[in-house]
Amino acid sequence: MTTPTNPADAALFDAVTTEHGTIYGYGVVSAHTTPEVNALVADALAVHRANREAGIAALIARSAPTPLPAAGYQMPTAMDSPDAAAKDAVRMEENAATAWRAVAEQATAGPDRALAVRALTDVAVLAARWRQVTGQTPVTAAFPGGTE
Amino acid sequence: MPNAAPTVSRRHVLIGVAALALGGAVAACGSPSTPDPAVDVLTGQLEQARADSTLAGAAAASAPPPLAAALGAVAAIRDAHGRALSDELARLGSVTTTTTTPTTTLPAAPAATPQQVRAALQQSATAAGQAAAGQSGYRAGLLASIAAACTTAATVNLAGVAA
Repeated sequence: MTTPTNPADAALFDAVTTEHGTIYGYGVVSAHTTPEVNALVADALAVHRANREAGIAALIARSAPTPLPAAGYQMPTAMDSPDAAAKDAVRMEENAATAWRAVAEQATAGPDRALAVRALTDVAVLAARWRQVTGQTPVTAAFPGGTE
Repeated sequence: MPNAAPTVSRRHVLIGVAALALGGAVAACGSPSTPDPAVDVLTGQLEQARADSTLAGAAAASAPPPLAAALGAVAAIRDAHGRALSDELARLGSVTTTTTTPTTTLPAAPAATPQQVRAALQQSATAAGQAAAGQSGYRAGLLASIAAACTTAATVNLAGVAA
């Protein structure tokens, strides 16, 4: 499986790869978080699955290769407590935001940029909801996925 | 052997310099006639960011403490958007005014409500998302991030405010 050489396809390929890892990671997050955040974990999984499928559909539509999920993923931290798991969820959402912003910047067609805006919005909202859980401030990043 | 020096007089040199300067001026006149269409898009976004920041600041002034803090955070986010848009306009060579609405008009304006701020953010999110789809490169990314932040501010920061 090689990354496409076209920058627009490569960014989308990377975003789908990130979504595969995020969906895997939420399984681990779910194992460690408290019951109070079950609804948030469920929302996050549904959103990431939908964005992964939308990304795969966009790649298939132009006959670009699609990434397969890996057998396993390295988690950002040991995730040995509910708080650590919630903080890793924030990190995963921030990584996903970076990937989808790259799609917005590299895209050469309006529909791909619209997909990127939707996905970036989804993960920015999830990141903010997780920051409310961890008590991190500010709750909302002014430029999700960006370095401004 | 006499040196056949080129007979270029000082007068000819001056005429040549004048012609070059004129040519340069004509060439420079050509560029402003084709303004970058992105300038209009970014200027509209900048005005919207400044208006949202002012609205959120006004609403924060009359809101109870927890909501006032949330509205203050919203004002700061939209203020940051304004600065980033202003920077990008400067890179495009467009000069933007740094002054916002004159403060003398504020006391006459009706107090802003959190509901108005939430509605304004949702409109801004839609507008920035549509603008992102029509731009490319860094500008598309910047507008996508602004759209995402506006939706997040409306639905998470102001989650307790009825639509």
